[in-house]
Amino acid sequence: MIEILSATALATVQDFGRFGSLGYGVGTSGAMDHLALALGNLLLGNPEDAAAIEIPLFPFEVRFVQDCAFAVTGAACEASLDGQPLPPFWVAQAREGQVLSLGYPTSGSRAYLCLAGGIDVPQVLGSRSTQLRGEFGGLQGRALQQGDRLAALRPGKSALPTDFGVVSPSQALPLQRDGLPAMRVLPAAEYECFLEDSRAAFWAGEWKVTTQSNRYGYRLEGTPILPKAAMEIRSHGIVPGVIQVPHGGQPIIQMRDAQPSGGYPKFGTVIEADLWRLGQAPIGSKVRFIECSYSEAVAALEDNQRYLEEVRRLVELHGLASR
Amino acid sequence: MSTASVSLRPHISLLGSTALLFEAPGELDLAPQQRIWSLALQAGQWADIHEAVPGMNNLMLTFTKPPRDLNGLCERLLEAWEQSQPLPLEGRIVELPVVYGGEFGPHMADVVAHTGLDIDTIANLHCEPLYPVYALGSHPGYCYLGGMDPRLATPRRQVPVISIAAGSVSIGGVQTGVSASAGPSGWNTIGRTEMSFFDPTQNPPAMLRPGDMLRLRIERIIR
Amino acid sequence: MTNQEIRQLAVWLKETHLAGAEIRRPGLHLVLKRSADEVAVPARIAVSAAANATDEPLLKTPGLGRLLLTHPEQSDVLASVGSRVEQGQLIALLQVGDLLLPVRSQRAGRVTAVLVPCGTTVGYGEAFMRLDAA
Repeated sequence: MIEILSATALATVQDFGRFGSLGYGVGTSGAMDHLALALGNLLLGNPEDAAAIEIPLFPFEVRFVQDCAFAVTGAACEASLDGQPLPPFWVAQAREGQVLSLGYPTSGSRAYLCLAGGIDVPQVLGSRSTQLRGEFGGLQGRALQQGDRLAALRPGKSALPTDFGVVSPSQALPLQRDGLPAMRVLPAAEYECFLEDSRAAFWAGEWKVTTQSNRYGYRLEGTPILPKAAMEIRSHGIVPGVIQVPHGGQPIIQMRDAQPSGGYPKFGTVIEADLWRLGQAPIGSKVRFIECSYSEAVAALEDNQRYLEEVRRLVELHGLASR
Repeated sequence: MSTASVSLRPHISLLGSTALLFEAPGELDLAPQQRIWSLALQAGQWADIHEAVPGMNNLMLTFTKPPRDLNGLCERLLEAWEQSQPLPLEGRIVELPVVYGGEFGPHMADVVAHTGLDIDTIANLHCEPLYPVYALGSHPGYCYLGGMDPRLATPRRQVPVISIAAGSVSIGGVQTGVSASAGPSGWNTIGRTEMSFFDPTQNPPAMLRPGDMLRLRIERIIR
Repeated sequence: MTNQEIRQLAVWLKETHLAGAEIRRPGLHLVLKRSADEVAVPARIAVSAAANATDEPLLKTPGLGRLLLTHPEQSDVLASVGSRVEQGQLIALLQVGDLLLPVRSQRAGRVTAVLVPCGTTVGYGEAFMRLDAA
């Protein structure tokens, strides 16, 4: 069990997300960087999609009320346990009373604190992710506050090895264009309805993640994307990654807490395999987009899967060799 | 989707590798929506499809995993649409008392200004139809309604409101809806109703389903 | 499972004095046995517990892998020449596939030399750092 010591806002309990309730108007929620979440869980021997705490603002501090193994993944945030530095993407054993501190990230923007067994909160509609609009899921359907206590499903001294880490997704699955992090995008229904110059500018241009970017959506700043003519779009289901272009031409990428339906023209969709890259892009940073096909998007998912499989194999091997 | 508002053939597009969007042709109407419900029931059972989510005369199919034979899926979907029959309207009729205007309708003045109608006419025209629930979306329990009187149409707001209360009755373009929880909105709020639209502990968690119908009743008009 | 991984496993086995190990998975059945008969003593392995004499200044690698002197996500060297390290302090990492294993200092001291460039593939028991009494 841990106790939240800091008053930092916006930390929430997330797992991979809530699927199958879009038809009730319930969006998926879930971790903005699902790879970091999966890796923290694999390091702990947890199911890949066990719930963890997503931390978007720093500094952040918790105290271990019980012995518990934990992992910190995602943003490299100068983690330390009772003042002892922990490397990024690392699993460690905490003793009762120890304090884990996370500082300002030197890379990435969201950190994940995973506990042995996963965070013990009830599942609602099949998931432990926090549904902020509906005020359910996670811890009482809200962001974490100072004084909150969260239990782990497998507290105590871990029977599995601790004090080791894993090569990060940015290292294992690099993707850049002209020195900037890049994400692959599949054109959407209204793609051809935008001016050719605008389309070219989208792929060639640098896009700044503005301060109005969060779990609901990322507002980007760059060359305005203009339509050939005004478009009336009927409300339809959307998924995280859909790039909407409202009046003014500044795109908004719908993220994990976005409304599950939309009525703005869609330029394209950031592919599922690259959503984690966007989730780690800090406010104020710039990104590039790469056009891709359906088969390339599917291949990218397979690359992610292979990487997680490889990590799982090696962690298991390390566990076997340590007995 | 073409720039013309009416298309003759369905349009299928991708939402990344996560989902597929099917858009029915023709004007926005109830009969195509009933066929969409029918299509959703069928396609929701297919391998590789996680959820079939109706929208306004459209259908999103989310994948459990991306289908290897995408073309085959599209063909199957088009064929199923061709064969589809409108699902009968056998839903329940739910009555909602609405208080129009005053503090509950902060944007009533904008609708009055845009439509040229007075507040009593607006309230009466708004309560006149039996509104079929076309689809759920936007937020937990929120219903997209069909059949609003076109005379009431008022464009979405330039600057969305940070938060409107749960139960807010609003007009956005040619559509009308009732919000199920407090949250941001770009629509014009003209009144409020009291009803619990969503309870995550219930099964199903949403009170209303596509095919149900809403009857709005004037509880009070604050002028 | 690569040959490199099998070698790493063999190295770990050697450290723990186990008689052998057997891994069964779909598509894989691996059995490693010691050639001489030894009583199997289950022991908790610490990969970095290389048998150094406490006054020997050279630190030796605890296993096969790529020796990293900086964490890939960070810019600062873990233990720079001239710096003082505490017992148990992380001074290097051993990369085995996608895993990063810690190399922790067995004693306090001052780093007087780094003998291996960052990223070198090392074997077991190679001298990589010189640590003199502080």
